[in-house]
Amino acid sequence: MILIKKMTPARCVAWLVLITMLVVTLFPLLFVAKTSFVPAGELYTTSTQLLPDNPTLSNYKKIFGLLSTEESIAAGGSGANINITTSMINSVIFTGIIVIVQTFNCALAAYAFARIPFYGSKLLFGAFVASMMIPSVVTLIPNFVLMRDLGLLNSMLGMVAPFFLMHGFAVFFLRQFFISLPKDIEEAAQLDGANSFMIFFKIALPLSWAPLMTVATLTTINMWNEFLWPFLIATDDSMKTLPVALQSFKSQTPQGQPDWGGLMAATVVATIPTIIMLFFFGRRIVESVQFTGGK
Amino acid sequence: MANITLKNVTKRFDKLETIHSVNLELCDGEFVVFVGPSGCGKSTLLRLIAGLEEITEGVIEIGDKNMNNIAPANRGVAMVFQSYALYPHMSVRENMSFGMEMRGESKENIHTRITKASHILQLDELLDRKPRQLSGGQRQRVAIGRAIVREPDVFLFDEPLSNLDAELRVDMRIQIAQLHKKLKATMIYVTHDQVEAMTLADKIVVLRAGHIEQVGSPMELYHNPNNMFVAGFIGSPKMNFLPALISDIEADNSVIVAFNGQKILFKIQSDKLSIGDPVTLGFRPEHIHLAKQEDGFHFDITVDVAEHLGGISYLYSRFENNNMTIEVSGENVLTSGDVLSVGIKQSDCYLFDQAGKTLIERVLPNR
Amino acid sequence: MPFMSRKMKNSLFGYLFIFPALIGFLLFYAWPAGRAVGISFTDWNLLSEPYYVGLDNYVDMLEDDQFWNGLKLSAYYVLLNIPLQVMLGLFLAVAMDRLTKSLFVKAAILLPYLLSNVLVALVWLWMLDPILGIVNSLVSFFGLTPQAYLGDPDQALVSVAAINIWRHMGLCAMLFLAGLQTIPKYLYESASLEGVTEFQMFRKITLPLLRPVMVFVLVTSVTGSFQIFDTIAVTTAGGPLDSTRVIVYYIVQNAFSFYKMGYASAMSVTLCMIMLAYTLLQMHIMRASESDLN
Ligand SMILES: Nc1ncnc2c1ncn2[C@@H]1O[C@H](COP(=O)(O)OP(=O)(O)OP(=O)(O)O)[C@@H](O)[C@H]1O
Ligand SMILES: [Mg+2]
Repeated sequence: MILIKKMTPARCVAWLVLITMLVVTLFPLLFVAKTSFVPAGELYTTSTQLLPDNPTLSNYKKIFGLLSTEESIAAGGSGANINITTSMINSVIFTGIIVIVQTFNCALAAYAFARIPFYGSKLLFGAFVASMMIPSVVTLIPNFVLMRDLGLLNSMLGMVAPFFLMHGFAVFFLRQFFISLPKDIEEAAQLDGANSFMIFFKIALPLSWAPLMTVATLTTINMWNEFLWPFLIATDDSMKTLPVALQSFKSQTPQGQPDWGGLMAATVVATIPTIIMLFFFGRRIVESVQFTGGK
Repeated sequence: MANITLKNVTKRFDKLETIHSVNLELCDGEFVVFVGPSGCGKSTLLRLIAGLEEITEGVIEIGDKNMNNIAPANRGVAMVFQSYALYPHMSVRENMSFGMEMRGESKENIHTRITKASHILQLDELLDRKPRQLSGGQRQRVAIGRAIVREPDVFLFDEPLSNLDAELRVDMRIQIAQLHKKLKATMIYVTHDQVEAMTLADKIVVLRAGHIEQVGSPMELYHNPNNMFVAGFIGSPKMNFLPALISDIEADNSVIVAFNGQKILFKIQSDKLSIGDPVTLGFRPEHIHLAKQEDGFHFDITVDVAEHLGGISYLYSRFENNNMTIEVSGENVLTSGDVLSVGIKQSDCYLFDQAGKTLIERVLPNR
Repeated sequence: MPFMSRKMKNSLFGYLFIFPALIGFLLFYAWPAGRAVGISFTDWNLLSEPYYVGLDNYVDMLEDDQFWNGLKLSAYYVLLNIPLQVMLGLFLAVAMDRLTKSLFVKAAILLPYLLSNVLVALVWLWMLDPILGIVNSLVSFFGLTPQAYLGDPDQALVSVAAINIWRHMGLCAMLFLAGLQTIPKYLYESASLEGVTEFQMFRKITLPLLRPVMVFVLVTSVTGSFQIFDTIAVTTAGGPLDSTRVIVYYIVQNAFSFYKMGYASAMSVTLCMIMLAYTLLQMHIMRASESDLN
């Protein structure tokens, strides 16, 4: 309504810019989607078109391993392989383990920092927060060496190890929330005979769904997109997560022309989970991301 | 037996001492009210008894057992918080059963106790609701119900009614009084409300800045306050204080007090006074009459503001440079600017020395 | 229950609660951070035993043109990336704040950030392909000369920056939008009653009150983009002609392609110091920039 009331020139320009930005944001993805349906031979002829002339599913069949190597080369493939189903499953397991275990561990620690006065709590909390400032490239080499020495290269445990126990931001964020919970509810539980663990599980956790989901959402985004660590640990195809698999699929033909059709089909497939999540949990995702900026 | 004894109880938060070596003796089944100005340590004292705060020095005994190292849950106390502190994610029934489950009570036992408590507090209809679906008064009843089912020796209330509106407050006050009669448990109750304190208490404990100023029955505190602080704190509206002088000293602990050019004899309990010492007279607003009294002081006041409440009126007035509040019963048409001649009986006067300590012991009315 | 003071009991519970997180902290943050310093004093190729070389790695580093080049490229990249990203994000946020509350718009604007760096790099690798890419088709359509973008040493880093602006613009916009929504609307209402124009309102009300969010966005995005790696690994692999061999890429390359663990660690420790200095400086400024609201 406000819109109709005051359509000043400034507003018109603003709308124009906003719409342009939306186009700039969405157009590349649509273009990628189109390319994924283009047969290999027609990439050049259709490069400026919004729709393929002869849409085909062969690119998708290729990345899901439904074509033999000869067939896929005939269909314009580079002979490169991507096992998109496996890497999708790996990504889900990798992200899932980290999100669940890390959020839980961080909630436990955050609760202790917020509510239990124990020796050294201030110092340790400061150290946890400071850990956010260490660039990941510093710990990368020692962590890699540790994983190698423990024989955890190419294992799921090795991939989740640096992430799943602790995350400075999650501890910090959840502690802020636990501090804001009314203390007398927990004191009532204490009088009712609950010990710290019971208070945590029966009172504090059930009251913390919203912030826990915020943390879990943020961790999901970050871990689903994490590249460098799994790239170092998972050298075996069977262990690769989506970003790693996509990168190695792309770089298997560094000299020749990449298999654009297959690559774009893989890109589309890798994008779909994000779009589905955005469709169902859009508000939560947007608000979670916004939360990071407010102290 | 749930008599409570505090011996030299001291509490420090970091360096800051907020409770200073408090000694207190509460009998089994007594209804005790803690009063005092904001920040004087009422809640802290209550929480020390509950065990929610650890005492820094001293001993707390409940039923003659040292409680210093006993966990809150094992002290036989239940607490009702000002904010109710109900578990928001649990139904009324779950709120009440939580503590018993923690203790491993049997299912039937839990059921019978909840039935009984919800009957007493008329919660039967509400058992399956969540706290947010309840009104303030209902929440408070649930909070009390949660305490009752614990069957504690001692109930602790921290300003339980202060979030309720005036009418509900009267209602709940009466319910709590009835509950005390029925359960015969020891109850400690913190409040800011004069009426709650006077009507509920068997014993009032007046606190100031972490010290106990006086302990006694409501009538004791009203008639024989130890000092000006208690005198000013108990009674509403507040007692009026006016400067006077010792004009003469008689042999048998009697002095002549001069005020407004009048001299009256008081029997006192001190022999440290000398002629010319300043003292303070205390007049309760309800004891000042609109007429000169035989054997008493009289003086003229100017009315600043008159509040007419129907049955009674309060006259906020001035005598020389002192503020005076006067309570007048019956209807009248007095108004601002009126000059009145008022009087007070000698037997209604309070008298304090320079340090604010009381000088006279008055006789309590007997039945 | 045997006697145990409350302090001891609390400490027991406290450490039980933080136990898993503490292990994570010690094992994957504290210890490796120290160990990185240790490794940086050695010559080590992962196969043989580490060989103590003192400060040699640091001396080599200072004389290594590639190291300085990497730092320079990272800094240059930050300068290309941040101002535009912040400005576009701010603009988008203001427009959205005034025009629409639509969740669809927000979600669409945020979508690129939700995709991985690798994915985004692939999308733009295709878009910017010199022959098949739509960008060059559009460029020719408007009568301009097609460019090589990621294949041209002069344009590669700019292209990478553009790709990341595309990915992070929406994130910036969302953060600013959250900040804008904390500014009370009556400020604008009273200003508009006094005939203040929208642009003046933006300068005199919005920008000053947005300062805390601005500082947050600047700190996180500067430290984040100084450590750019993923996009470069996918699009240019440091090329062409080393024109995108930023510092983190160079460190990773030294460690995992050349197996010079000691040298890579020395550089990473140095990078850590630079980041730390920057963060402390920013925090100092941040303390001086508490919100004017409340
Ligand atoms: N956890 C704490 N840490 C430090 N100081 C505290 C703490 N709790 C209470 N205090 C201090 O102890 C003093 C007494 O507080 P308390 O809450 O007992 O007052 P109160 O009499 O209940 O006041 P009110 O009537 O306002 O509720 C206050 O000065 C308060 O600041
Ligand atoms: Mg209190």
